[in-house]
Amino acid sequence: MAIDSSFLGATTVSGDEAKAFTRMMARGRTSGVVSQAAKNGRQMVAEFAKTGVVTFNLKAPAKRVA
Amino acid sequence: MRELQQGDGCSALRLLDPALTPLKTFLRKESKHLHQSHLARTFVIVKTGQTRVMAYVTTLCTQISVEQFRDQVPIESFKYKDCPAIKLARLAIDAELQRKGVGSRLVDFVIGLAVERIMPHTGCRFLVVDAKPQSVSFYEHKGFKKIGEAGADGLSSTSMFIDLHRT
Repeated sequence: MAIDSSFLGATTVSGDEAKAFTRMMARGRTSGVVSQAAKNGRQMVAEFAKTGVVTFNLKAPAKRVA
Repeated sequence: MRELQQGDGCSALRLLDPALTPLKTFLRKESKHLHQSHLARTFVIVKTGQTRVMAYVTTLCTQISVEQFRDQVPIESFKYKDCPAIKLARLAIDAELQRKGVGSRLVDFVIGLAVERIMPHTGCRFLVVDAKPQSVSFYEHKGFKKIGEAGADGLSSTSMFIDLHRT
């Protein structure tokens, strides 16, 4: 196994996974999904910083697709 | 959602998959001690006016170490094999709240914490998670990329990451 990881420890990558990780880093692009998550997260963190709490309503449960 | 507190009820989290029992055990036995000790920070979802934990996420500082591959470095002009990161170490959602976007919000919050509160003040490039098999597609949907299969804490998992520099 070329990845070793534990709860409190580092993620150690070697072998083919290290090569693949390096390639992903070199060719990585900004992800729209991650950008949106960061935007949502910034808003939540701003609320958290002001009040110590983030409140939100739950959305309707998503339908499970087989 | 707020920080874990000493008076929170951590014993009633219902997870339907027996494979997720370690997440219940962690919340019940370890989360408060680690939170108080600043070894890991846990944020919880509770219903307004209640203290029973319905979902939680735990984060801590870590690193990605790239070994046995010396021809290239993961980050241009960064000659070291260890890259600072934040680990999304635990995430669990009570059965009552599943498929309602709670997990997605918890991940968004952790990303927000990293980019707003950590990265402006200290070195941190990645968000990493060791995803259980049943959670890999969820993290892919949130933009995590697979590094590979890992043997985390004796359990099979998939190590995944987000490059926070590209948010």
